[in-house]
Amino acid sequence: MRNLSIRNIKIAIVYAVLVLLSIIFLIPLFWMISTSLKSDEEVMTAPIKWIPSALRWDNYVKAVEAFPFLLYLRNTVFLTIINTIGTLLTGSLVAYSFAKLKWKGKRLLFAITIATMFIPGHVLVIPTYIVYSKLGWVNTYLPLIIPSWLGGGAFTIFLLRQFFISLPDEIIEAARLDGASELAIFTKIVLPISVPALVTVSIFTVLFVWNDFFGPLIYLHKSELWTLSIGLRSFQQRYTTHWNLLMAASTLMSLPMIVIYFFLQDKIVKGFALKGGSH
Amino acid sequence: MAERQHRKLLKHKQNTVGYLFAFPWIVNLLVFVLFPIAFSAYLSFTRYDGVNPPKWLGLTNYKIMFSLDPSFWKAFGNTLYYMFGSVFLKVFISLILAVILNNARKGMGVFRTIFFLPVVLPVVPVMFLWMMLFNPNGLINRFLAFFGIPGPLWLNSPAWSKPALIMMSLWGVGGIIVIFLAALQDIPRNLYEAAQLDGANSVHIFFRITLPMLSPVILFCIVTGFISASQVFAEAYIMTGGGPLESTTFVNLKIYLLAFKQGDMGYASAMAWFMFLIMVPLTIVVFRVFRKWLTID
Repeated sequence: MRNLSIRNIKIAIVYAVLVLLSIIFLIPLFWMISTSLKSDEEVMTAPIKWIPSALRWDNYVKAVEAFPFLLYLRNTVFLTIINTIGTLLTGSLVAYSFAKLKWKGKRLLFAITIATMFIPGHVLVIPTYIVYSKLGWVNTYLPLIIPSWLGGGAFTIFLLRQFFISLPDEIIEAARLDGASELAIFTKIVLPISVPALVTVSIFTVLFVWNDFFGPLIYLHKSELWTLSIGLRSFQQRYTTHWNLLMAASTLMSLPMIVIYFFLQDKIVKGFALKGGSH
Repeated sequence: MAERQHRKLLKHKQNTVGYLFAFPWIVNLLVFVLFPIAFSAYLSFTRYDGVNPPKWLGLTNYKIMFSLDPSFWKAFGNTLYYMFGSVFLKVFISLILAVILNNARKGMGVFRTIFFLPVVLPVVPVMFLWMMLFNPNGLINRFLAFFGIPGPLWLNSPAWSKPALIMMSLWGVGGIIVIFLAALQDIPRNLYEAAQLDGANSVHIFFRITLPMLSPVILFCIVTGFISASQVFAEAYIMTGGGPLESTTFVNLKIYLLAFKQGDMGYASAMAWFMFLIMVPLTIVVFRVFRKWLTID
């Protein structure tokens, strides 16, 4: 009996700590939305104004009109879609080759692939920029698209390979004995049963492209090419004191990621955990 | 005889198909990984502005970096400060939260959802949000004032700018929590049951079972954390511009400014290569740990 009540107290403490921390974690996000609905005067007032006295929904209209939000949104959506397609097409081919095909040098190449997941990227930036600039591709989307169409990156390949490896060899062998070509086996048998893994890879690509700041910063110097990240940054430089408008634009940019997260949370979390090497 | 030739032919065909499937990635590795590593090594021995041909300088860039340019050491020190502060705090807090979450069977999903949410938010809006929170009149200082504590100037103070950026990075602990949670669930139940039968209390269980079982994952998180924190850039570029008094000028910001604003790609490459050499041993460590988990085939 005494043991039970001690146990209950322990559980109560655990939950109290978790609830408190959850509130602390949510406050910044709440503050972002709350500020986005405030009038200019209420933004930095003392005492803290948690909820605006009047909800200024027109801040969102003002923010979208204050800079070419829709153009940047269109550019970002375009890049997101084209990179996702490229990653799915080429990443799955490469991963399948690592998982199920037999060829010389495969192990070494896969080891190099894994190593590139952990290479500090500083050293790659300048030469890569020089290559693109000699090709005349700075101020085009090509530097932001080509890598996705060349395998989609080490993490994509790793994630898909882990999935393909778990597929039974028998179905592939059976198709081979029936005389199916490797490409036919891949497209007609492997891909259709790999949809869950392909969805995971798509989510990670979308998250990456939507959030990318460095790539567009280096390669896109013409404002009509900008993505939301870069566009929002220039908006901020011109409207430093208008925190409400800035937060409205920030909320709009974050919203699609929040929606994706709420619907596909399990896949995102699983993908992240896989990065840590657990299964 | 015919059989052997047939097998050789088959193997040849298998190789060809394998290379064809992997071809896009082989090109990627050659053009965007191996070539850049070699080329930036070469550039680090030259003066190169991106327009005129590189001019060979020998070790000059490195000599300047090591003995004549105190601003490099300042940036290097800032980077180490940020790396150690952010990574150790993040791993420590994530470990505690993961263990707590793992014990709170009911409702764990809800808490995990909340802790992980900041990880998926776009970088640029998150930084604006924290610039607002760290404003001298912002929410954090208003909150401190409520308890009679005068808040510091945060991003405007040379002493508090790095701690502020580290604090902000803690909002992203969710990314590590889920890794620890997955690893905690891999620990065999019977280990705990045996310990409980022996009368071990929860502190004992944590130090004798949980911690040792998690140690490879902890090592992994620390090392990968170091590698990514060593590349800290957007925080400084967007939130502080490297200031005040260069207190948030990290190496990567310096490399960016040198290469893309001042047209000094040779010197920038020398810095990049120095960081690369420092981080390579860490890459090897994490690679070793990672490979053990990959021996499924």
